[in-house]
Amino acid sequence: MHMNEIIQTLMPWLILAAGILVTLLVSVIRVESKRPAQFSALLTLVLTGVSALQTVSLPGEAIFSGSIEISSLTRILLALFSLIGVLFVVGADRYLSKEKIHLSDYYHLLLIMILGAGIMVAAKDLVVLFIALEVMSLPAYTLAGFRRNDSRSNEAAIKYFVLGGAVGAVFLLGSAFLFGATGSTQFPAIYSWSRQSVTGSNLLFAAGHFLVIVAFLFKVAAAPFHFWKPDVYEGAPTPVTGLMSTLVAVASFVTLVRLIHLPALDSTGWEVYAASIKTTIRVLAVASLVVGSLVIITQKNLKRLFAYSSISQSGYLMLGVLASLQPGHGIAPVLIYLFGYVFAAVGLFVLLSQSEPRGDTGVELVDLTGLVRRSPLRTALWSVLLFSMAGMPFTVGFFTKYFIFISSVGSGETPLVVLAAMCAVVSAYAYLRPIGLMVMRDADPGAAQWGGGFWSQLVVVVSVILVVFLGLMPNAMIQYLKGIPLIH
Amino acid sequence: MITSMILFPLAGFVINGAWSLWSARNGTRVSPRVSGSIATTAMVAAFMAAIMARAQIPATGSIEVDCFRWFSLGSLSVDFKLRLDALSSIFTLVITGVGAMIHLYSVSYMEEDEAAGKYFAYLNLFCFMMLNLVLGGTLPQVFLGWEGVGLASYLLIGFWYREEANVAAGQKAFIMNRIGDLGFLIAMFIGYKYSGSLDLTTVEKVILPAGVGTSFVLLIFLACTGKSAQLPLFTWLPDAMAGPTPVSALIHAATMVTSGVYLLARLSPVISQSATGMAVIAGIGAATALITAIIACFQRDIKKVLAYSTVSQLGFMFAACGVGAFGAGVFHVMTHAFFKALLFLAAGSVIHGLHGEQDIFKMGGLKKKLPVTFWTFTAGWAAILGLPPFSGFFSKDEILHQALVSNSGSAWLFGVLLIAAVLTAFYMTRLYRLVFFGTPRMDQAKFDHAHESPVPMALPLVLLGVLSLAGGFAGEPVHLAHPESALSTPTWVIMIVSVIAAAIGATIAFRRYSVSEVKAEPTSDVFRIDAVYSKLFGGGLGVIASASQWLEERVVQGMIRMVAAVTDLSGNMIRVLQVGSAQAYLLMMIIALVVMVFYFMKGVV
Repeated sequence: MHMNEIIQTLMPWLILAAGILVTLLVSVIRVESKRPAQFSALLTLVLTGVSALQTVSLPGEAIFSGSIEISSLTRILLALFSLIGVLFVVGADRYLSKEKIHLSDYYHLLLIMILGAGIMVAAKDLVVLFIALEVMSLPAYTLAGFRRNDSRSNEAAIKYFVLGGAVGAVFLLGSAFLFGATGSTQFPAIYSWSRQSVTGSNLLFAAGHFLVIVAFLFKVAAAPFHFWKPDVYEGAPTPVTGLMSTLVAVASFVTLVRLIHLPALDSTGWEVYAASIKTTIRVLAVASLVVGSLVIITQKNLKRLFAYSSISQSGYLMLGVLASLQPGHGIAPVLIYLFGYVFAAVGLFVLLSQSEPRGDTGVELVDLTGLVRRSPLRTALWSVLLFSMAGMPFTVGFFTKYFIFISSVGSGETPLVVLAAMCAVVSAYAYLRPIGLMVMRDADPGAAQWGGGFWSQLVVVVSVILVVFLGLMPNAMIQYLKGIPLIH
Repeated sequence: MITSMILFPLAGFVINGAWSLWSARNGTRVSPRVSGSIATTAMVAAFMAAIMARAQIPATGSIEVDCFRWFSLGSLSVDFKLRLDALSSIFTLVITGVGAMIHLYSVSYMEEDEAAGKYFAYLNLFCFMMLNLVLGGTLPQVFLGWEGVGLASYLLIGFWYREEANVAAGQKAFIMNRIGDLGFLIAMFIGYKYSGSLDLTTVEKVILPAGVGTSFVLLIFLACTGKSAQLPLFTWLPDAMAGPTPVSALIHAATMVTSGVYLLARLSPVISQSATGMAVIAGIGAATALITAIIACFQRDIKKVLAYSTVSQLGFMFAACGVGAFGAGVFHVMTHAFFKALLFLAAGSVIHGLHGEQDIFKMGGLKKKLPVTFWTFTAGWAAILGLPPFSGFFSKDEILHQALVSNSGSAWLFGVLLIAAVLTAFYMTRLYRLVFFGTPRMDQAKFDHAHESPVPMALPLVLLGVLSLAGGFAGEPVHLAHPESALSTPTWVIMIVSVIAAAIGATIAFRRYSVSEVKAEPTSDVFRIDAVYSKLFGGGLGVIASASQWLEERVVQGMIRMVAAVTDLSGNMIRVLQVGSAQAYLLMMIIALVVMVFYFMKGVV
């Protein structure tokens, strides 16, 4: 392939990479003002997103000797990541100023995270994947500790870093085993090895595959690998928590699905192996659903609440992962769920960042009391987004859950669906209680003041519009995402 | 025509909702009169549309309007479509007709309320959702309406949110309904699994294997017990009386609570496949009818008596469905909508006239003071007692008849329902007697100030009074599959028996409360069901959640101690960092990993 073609194919990624350099540069040249870096980041993200969307329907192409594949899936994901980036650049502005941590570094670190995530979902080589994972994670550790004078933020950064290190270590060990078993680190080679291998009971392969999967289960915090999440969520600056919960989660989940599909699980000789993988995922789904849905009820701190929420989301997504192992579904249920989740989560975290600084305590449920009297519009926005989280009809959250359930029923996971539906009912309480506090209580004397400014409110409104629109007319999104094949 | 029927309330909701939000921002007030007129006009228009749509239905079959492709996934595709047939038509007429009257009534009733705009927006929203529920052509659409009416009901119960009790009542309603909805959701998935479609026309014809069929029926019925307040989930309905009275009339008597009956009737071909399921429905229905009729005899609050009465009447409807007489159940839905809405609105008129008094032992002698209310209430009273020729007579009689003669009916069922009918006559007459007759038991000043309601409130009363009187002559509005009769007891025997039963109950009550000095009776929670539930639900889930939280913390702390012990031994290397918990988390994850790897390997290799 010619250099020209490679550049063409990689254009969105190259724009992003160039934008990172520019942003870094302007932030060094104009130290006293954050606007140039902010503007440069925004421009970079918009260009990246647009160029990814423009080429989205082009056929997939493997480049760099097959270690990266640029396809519809990766392009649409890069566009989604850029959108998340734009929303968190625009939405975080007020928060960063309020917390007195408005540094230009926020912008280029954010861009690097997006680049890492964008490469990770495109990687077709375990080594490239590992590098991308680290490119995504390192800025995230820094950002988690962005509130330098807050001990909680520092603690969160270190915890995230230590846990992230474990993810890397486990992943590398697994990759080494896989290399030992198959003689390659490239996905297609591993795949074709698995088709030729008479049996799926190669110890080295099983250990390796299992470890790379577990590494990403750490990353998505599926129970019982979830313990780090509430602490990190609570301590990190709110927009950064939002990034973890959206950008990192989407990239990690898509990668997880791709890694599970590394061997040809449907070829003969692999039945036992495939069954084992399924059992493992089922166990994790049950654990995540139960832990997430029960423990969320007692949470008073809103960020911890959303941490447990995301743990239970991992549970629902596991159902989607199971469905993806069934012929005919592909990654669609997972992808649809992730998109729906992201649209609501971005709005929620930006809303959460609109409270006046609460220092060490963080935003508690009590800060929401009587909000309807103080700010009816904000209450309405909160309510819609929380409804979406609870999976109430008329919001995108209902449909995404519904699809996960329907596809799982189709793949014979009815008992799990029953459990998941029960968990949805139980955890609905946790999402609706904040609404009750906002609408039906008078303000507590100690309740925080809320104020977001125009731009962050705009981000929330965009998120709410997406949530409601897709809740009423989900078909376009579904049809589109359904057509996207999972790459091997 | 069908589309415009659901669009009118939606438009009303949007207008009133936007107006309320806008004026909340600017600190101005929404005029209750204008906003109420908009909402009422929307409902009247919807009612017109419902009548015209009714005329278009072919003799057998239905009209379907495909609005748009809602979503599709794999082989499954779901359209957003409206389907009108005889069954849904009855419900739309009741919803829009009774709904329009209650909207009109509300214009006066909510005149003083500063949040009237919000109130009318919610009320229109409710009607929109309710129409979606009964017109939905697919299960997800019905579910959408099902959840939507729950939401509107929740908002309206807690409408006067400054009182803690009202908020608690709203939450209780919500939680109980969520439990029921779970049944709906799972049943929907079962239906999909076996019919391969979510279309009602397909699902209602599906033949389910025996065991699955029973669980399907029971799950659907679980949903109904939530929404239609049957045992064991009925306790939210009496508490829901915390909302404004017209809301009680519309949502918690005439429409939303009957959606369970609609769902059973809609799915009747599937439901009747399971004899066990049917028996459960009949049994629970009859038990609910009896138990809540007993509770109603011990209430002092005028609205609570009517609320328990509603639960009891719904029990009658479910008993009818349980013996296969779905048509009789729907018939009773219709007549009940007339007379119970009337009774609630009349009660609201009494409360309004007495400036908020709800205790029937502090009323009395209001016959002269509130003549319109009195005469219309009399019509409602006669209808619920089942006195001929009032509407309730026909429908209740049909239910009693079917409970006895149907294949799946029995003398037991008939007996229980008959006792419930006697009790109904008793508690209604007690209420009637205490409110309107005898000497006033309130301060003279209050009695003197008592006044008849203005025309917008009186007009719906009169209209509903006429319907309560004559509505029964319409006869069974839909002809759903009739049950086989095992007995040939003729109808007239049952008629006489049921009229005698009503007469006995009424006479006892009249004599008991005719003494000149009526002794106030305490309200009694006869079966203490509420107390037990609040322990079970309020406590139970809380306990489980706290226990999980505790466990989670305990595991973490145990690990931290363990790590601390290990690092102490190995020379305090990492202690400087003070992030013991991070190590503990890691340790736990590694332990989990090791366990899983071993398990996994054991399976594979």
